[in-house]
Amino acid sequence: MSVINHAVIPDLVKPANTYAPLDLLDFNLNFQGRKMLSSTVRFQGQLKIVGDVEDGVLFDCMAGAHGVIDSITTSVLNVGQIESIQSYPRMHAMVMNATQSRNDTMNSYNSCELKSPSDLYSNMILKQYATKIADSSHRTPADFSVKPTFCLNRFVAVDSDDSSVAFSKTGTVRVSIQLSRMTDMLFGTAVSGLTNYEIINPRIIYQSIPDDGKQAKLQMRVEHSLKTSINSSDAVISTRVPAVCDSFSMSFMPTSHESVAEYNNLAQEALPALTELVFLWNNSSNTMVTYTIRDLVEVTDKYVESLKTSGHNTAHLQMVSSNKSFGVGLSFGTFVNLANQSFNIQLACGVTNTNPFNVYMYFHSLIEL
Amino acid sequence: MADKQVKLNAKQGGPFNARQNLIDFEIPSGMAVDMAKSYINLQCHCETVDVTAGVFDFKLEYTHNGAHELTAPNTAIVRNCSLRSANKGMLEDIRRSDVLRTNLHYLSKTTEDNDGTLYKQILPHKTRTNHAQSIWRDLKKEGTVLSRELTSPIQIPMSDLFNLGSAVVDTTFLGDTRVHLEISPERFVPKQLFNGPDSLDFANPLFKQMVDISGVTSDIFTVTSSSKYEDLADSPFWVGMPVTVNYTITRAPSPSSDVSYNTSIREIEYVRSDLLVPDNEKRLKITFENAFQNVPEAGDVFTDITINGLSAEEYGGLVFTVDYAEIVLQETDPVKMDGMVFTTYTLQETNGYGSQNWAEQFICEPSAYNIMALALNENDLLTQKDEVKQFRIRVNNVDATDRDVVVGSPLYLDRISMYKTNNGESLKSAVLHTPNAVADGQTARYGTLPLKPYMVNPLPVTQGTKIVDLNVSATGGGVHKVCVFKSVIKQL
Repeated sequence: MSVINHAVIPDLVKPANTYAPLDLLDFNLNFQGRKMLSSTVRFQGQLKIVGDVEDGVLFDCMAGAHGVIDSITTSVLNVGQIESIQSYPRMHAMVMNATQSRNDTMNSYNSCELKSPSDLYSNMILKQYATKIADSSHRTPADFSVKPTFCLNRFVAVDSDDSSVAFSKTGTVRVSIQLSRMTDMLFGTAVSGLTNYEIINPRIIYQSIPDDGKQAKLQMRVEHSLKTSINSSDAVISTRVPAVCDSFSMSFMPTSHESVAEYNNLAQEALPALTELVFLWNNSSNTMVTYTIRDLVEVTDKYVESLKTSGHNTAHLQMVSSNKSFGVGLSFGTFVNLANQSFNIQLACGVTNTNPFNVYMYFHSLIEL
Repeated sequence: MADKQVKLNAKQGGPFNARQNLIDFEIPSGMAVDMAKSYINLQCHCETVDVTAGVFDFKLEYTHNGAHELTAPNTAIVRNCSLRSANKGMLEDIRRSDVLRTNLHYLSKTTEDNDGTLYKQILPHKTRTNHAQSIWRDLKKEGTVLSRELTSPIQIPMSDLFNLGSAVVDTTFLGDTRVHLEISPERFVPKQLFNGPDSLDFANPLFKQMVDISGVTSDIFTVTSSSKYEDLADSPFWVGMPVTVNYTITRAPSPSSDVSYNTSIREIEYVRSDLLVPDNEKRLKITFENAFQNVPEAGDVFTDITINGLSAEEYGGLVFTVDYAEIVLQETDPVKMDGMVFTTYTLQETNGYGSQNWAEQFICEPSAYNIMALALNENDLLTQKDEVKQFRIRVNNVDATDRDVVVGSPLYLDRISMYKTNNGESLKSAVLHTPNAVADGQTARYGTLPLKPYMVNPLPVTQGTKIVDLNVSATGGGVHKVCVFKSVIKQL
């Protein structure tokens, strides 16, 4: 088997291969006569901070360089759009907080994604080595190679061990990455209107093997993201998602903290005074969780389970109380078609109309390709 | 539709204490229960006798023959437990479940696995922030929303009680199934954190220091911390914290005088940026319910401002109550249980009465396939007898090893690994220490409470009973209480 490594640059090449926040990077993945291997797609580049990097310029240590991806959309020529994840870095940070500990970020597969045990460490990553030139510093941008948590890295063959997809089945695969706005990526006391970041030499790499003419049936994990807000102490979030899902997870942030440089835009803040949580199917509570959840232990249990916890997480009480890793979620235990029934979440908490909270919901789904 | 989760209340109403410590649950027939996803909740709360004081933080301390610095999994509160069904009789009857499960816990969990349950541990260790906190408190580190006292559960997974706790159990086959627990709540004693000026709970005593105040002529409600916190998680203060505020006021021409008064924290602002006074960044601005006792005049200088936690004893102390018990069951698809083979434990308790060369013979069931002898110390929970230096196990008069097993030697670790493998599990951690509840650093946390000895060996399954001899060589105070757990095979 001859494996080929592919590298793809964006359709639109900007001067000096340098991209700024909110730029849209479209990558067309063509692998005629070959099959793309699952779980090999990586987004690479260099992260450079515009202006001097002071102590107070940070990024979320658990999201790392995933933070530059505001949204990621994947389309396949022969099928159409198969996934579009909005607020992508928040989802990735939630997965990290629920499945890996701070110490795990020192593993090499996390280090190359610029993850680290503390936000302060992220500042050191941004600083890199600096050479003094007159009164300023020349800094080498930070290389990164992230493996996005998206459909092309999350498909498996159902009836075979050949987890690859043939170009003849997909046609051109288009991956569109919207870069995050500056205040969504960076935060800290030294972040100001003069602070910005750039992505230099972005590319997507992946691996392929020769097409042997056989195509196994593929199951692909995809995410459906929703963003809403709550502004009362008795909040009901009603959803109807056009997908078959086996779990959902959501996190919160005060609306007043959204895209504000002082606050980490990926913070998974604790809901004030959460006292009751009810999951309702078709407005009835006699299915799945048949009782009202009243303790935070069970809320956290179900949340980390919804993100397929491995037993490692950062959800200890100091992290929760300092707004770093709190969320609500539920693993359904099986796949449920949410297109033909409503799923409601009732929350009794201390949210008021003067301090509304954003709610970021992610439904974890499965499609067949 | 997916599997269903249901809650059932215990037969006894509670509250539970040292004298009322028996809890029974009945799983009705006709249910298929995934025990691996089921658990028992002992719902508890902790409050001050005078509830008007504010929210005191506390932690539970394992107390038996004195207070201990050890941590343990939640299942350590269950002393004995049994699982009995109407159609098949006694399925499992595990005595000293606390000793068994606690000592096995640290062989089956890595330190990271253990840290992954910190949000529900009742005896947690400190984290990087050097603050321990209990699951019965929702502490708000900033803002104006008051921290809360919570009713939270001591969550005990069924898999931490029974070996069948990892299986799917069908009560259509078993009939009504009764889960019986005998708990030891008296061993878990609340200890207040930040208890008065002598408390060592501040990670650094300088955290108490506030910035001097001068040039103010209106009531002083707000002070600014001397410390700059890079991470809000490091802050020892919370909204609603009862505190004693101390300061020295200098008002010319009078001599300086020291003032102290009690109040609580009404608001905390974490200064993320301050364009006018950049030096304030990362400090805490702490606002009290009550102003300084002196109304400031021009020229007044307030120095040596410190905040100490207030003792709950002034408000009658803390009372920890196990209010009621419930079992959460995960229903699933029925399974065939007829003829099912499972394993469980039997216990033989004995005592070496301080002997340095102790030998005892045990009669083991034909189906026994593993033996584990644990030498307990005064905490009556952990195998912590540093005096035990080596041991040797003989099965039916045949030595299991060609030499004595020296505790800590490669042969010793090999025996532990064999024991776990023979149980169908892997040895996930050879740290062989329980985390220290009060140690600040990682090294001290895993370096002060060794778990030894594990005197273990696999046994052959035999036609008849087998004789196992255990010879122990110890120094100093010798061997005292020993729990010998035998793993046995059973069939439905």
